Amino acid sequence: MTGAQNREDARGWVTGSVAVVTLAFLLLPQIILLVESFTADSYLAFPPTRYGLRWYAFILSDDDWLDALRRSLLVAAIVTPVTLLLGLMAAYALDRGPPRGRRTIFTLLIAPMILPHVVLGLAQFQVVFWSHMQDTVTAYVLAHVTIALPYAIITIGASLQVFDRRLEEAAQSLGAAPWRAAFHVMLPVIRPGLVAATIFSFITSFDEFIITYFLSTRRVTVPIQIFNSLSFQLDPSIAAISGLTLMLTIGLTGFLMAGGQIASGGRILR
Amino acid sequence: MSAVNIENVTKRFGQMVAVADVSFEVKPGEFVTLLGPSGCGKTTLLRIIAGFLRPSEGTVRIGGAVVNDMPAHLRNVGLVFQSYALFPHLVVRDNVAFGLRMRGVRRREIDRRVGEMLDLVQLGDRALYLPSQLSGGQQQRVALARALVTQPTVLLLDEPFSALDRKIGELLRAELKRVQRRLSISTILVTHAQDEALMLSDRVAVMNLGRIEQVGTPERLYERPRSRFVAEFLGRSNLVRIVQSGRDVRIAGPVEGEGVPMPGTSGIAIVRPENVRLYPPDSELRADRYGGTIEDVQYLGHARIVRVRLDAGVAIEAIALSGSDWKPDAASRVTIEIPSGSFHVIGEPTLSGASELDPSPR
Amino acid sequence: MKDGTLESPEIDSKRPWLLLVPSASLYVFTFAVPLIVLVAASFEKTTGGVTVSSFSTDNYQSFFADGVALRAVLHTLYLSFAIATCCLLFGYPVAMTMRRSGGRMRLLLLFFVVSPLLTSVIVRNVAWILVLGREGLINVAWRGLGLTTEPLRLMYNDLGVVIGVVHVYLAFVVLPVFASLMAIDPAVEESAASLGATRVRVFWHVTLPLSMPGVIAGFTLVFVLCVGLYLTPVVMGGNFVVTISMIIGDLVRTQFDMGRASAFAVMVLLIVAGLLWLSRQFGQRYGVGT
Repeated sequence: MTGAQNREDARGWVTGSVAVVTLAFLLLPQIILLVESFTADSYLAFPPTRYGLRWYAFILSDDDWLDALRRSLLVAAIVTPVTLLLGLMAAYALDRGPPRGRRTIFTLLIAPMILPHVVLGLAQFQVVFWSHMQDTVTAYVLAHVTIALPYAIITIGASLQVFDRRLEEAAQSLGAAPWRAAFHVMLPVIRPGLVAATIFSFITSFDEFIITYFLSTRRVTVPIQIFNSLSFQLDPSIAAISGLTLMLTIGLTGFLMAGGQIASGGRILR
Repeated sequence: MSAVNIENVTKRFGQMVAVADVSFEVKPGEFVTLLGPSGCGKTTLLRIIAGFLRPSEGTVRIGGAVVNDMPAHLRNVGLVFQSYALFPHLVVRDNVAFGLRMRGVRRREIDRRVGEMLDLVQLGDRALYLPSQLSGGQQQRVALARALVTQPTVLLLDEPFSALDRKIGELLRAELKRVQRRLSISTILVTHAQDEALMLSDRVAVMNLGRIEQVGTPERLYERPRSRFVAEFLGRSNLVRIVQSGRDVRIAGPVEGEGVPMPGTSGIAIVRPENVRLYPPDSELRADRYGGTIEDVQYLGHARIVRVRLDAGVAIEAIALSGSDWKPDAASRVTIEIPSGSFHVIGEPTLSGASELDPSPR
Repeated sequence: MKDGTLESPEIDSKRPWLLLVPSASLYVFTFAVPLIVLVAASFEKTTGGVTVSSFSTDNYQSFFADGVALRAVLHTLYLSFAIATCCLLFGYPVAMTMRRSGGRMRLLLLFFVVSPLLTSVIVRNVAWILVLGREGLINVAWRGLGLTTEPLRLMYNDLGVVIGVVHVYLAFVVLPVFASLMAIDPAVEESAASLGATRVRVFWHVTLPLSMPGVIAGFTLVFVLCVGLYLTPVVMGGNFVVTISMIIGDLVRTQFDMGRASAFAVMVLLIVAGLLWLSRQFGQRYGVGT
């Protein structure tokens, strides 16, 4: 009896430790990167011997890095609201439209997620090339919205699915026209889904590499600039820009999640 | 002018007829209940009145105006759901203020009316709580306040007590009645619970299969049900085949089957258990008394439901109040008495010359 | 959400579908037209930038002819399988642990699992260089222990790619597996246990089969995403790991051979379609429609 018990306890312990190791594996690289980004050494090695803001100062005064950073932020700043709006409209249409055909439309809408980005990038490249749109922010934005939209539709769709439509009916019976009911009741209630979609859209755009790589020649975004300098030389400026990117996305996420939590009175936790 | 007037309303979903040619009205200040089993069309009817469904045929009037084509938000109705449907992102005060905000009422006026309404439902001290921080009963009171603060022409209640514990539900019922009387607001309640309907309503409309079987005061419906469905849906009842000769009415046998051939007119009637009197087995046998054997006794605390199998083959339920010396035991013999006046004839062959027993006219 | 009191909707109105117009028009320009152009280009034969023939299968023949592309495809599939399997082996215990823990702890674990998704792929690759590289954490520690003078080769090979990509995609397995684990009624497992099954047997005969929909969904998703691997193999594999996407990228960026690149891309598409079909066959055995 106790033998069997011990074996089973051991088994639970094994599962638990695999989980702990896995989680460490997930988090450790980012932490190391963040520490390394504050190195004051002139070469990339962990752990740094001296710390400082030397490399942050460097990338924030270097034209190439600044240019890429500005472009990435501009593109993401356009992609995020556009994706959010399109995603909300599409998810709402699927939720409220007739059930017949819903599945097919949904599959078509999320197809860019399954399609390898190399394929999509190559396909878009040929169209963009012939229409002389290489190196344009427009081309980048269109490409990024295409690959970010499926995630937005899925997350917003999931929160619409658990949204109780009687809340809207209650609002209408209280004198709110349908669009006002949607604005004052539906949007605030599905806010967690909208926040998740915002975060994912921003990161998808900010992170996108292969398609932008195909669509660009000189006017690059941050991931491409990192990629180019990786093949050139491995110096701590890469750690600094990566650290900056990391803090930017974590900061944005934290900000949006905290905002959502305050607005919904901590409901996310329950 | 009536608060709500429904004329020949029919609602079809494809082939399915959910509401079939229904007409009734709610007078100002009146409390009317749509009572029926699930799927009888009562909720569909409520949603038609609220403006979420369009009638396939017929006319809906609210406050005298035809509203068939009027969207829900212009109808000025108050709506309370079974699931409360409180806005989870707004505190109690803002939930109640919602309707006034949508109507563009001035801030000061909103504060005053919301405060009054919260006091009326005894939640003045919960104004800044979120719905998730309240109990079910409190949430439903907020929903009531929210629906009433805009002074709607009619208050619509969709099974408002069925998600609550029985005790809380009963308390809330009393409170609803108090508030409804106080504001004298026209109200339509949809429910499947007959005790709710009987306790709260001025009039009850019993619905079955999309139709209204009978409309009337609770007393009228209980004492003079027009159909077997109404009789059996409201309270307990014994359904028997009877014969009548002169003023005497006797049980002839069970509804199904032939029954003992006897002189007189035959028909179907109901007898409420509380009108059946129980006597010891050796009691004197009279025309309105029957011998039988107790089959089953259900103990309810304040009373017992006693099922007696009469020698004639009919099973009759009777109520024996607790507190008397005699305790009915299963399998023991018993004599029951049903006065002629306790029979209420329903359905089929009407008895000639028995005006008292006539089904109640509409 | 939809219980008996909520009647069926007024009409099966298609009006909400009007809201799909913006997304649909976007997809026409960024998805449908480009794919048509891609397929058309894959049949085009060009020499020196001049179109020789608008319908030729030369590009497809070259896919099979020189063996380079074919070898890259096989290696890509091998990597994809290894990565998806690793994701499952490490992700399943995490999902189990998440299921077992309560409220706040579960949320924290969920955050840990999702947090890598909040970071750029290339940033994570750089982070791994710091851990696995010649001057990375592990090698420095290894040398510090005096175990060897020769640095361990942890990247610029398949291992580095697998580590890097598992890090990226682990969440895509954990989330669906967690979802299907949560859908299992604990009473089912308890009743199996009460019938005398040990915890191990309960897992093999009850929990695992019931969580198969999530396992299949997660495994398929990661596998399919891996077929398009480009960035991580380049960064963490150096020139020692070649995927089919890298070959396509090279054809576009340096050789400007759009015809062959397009044909190879179409082949990748067909492979993805085949994988999805396979996964569907598997899924149907467990009663799921993928």
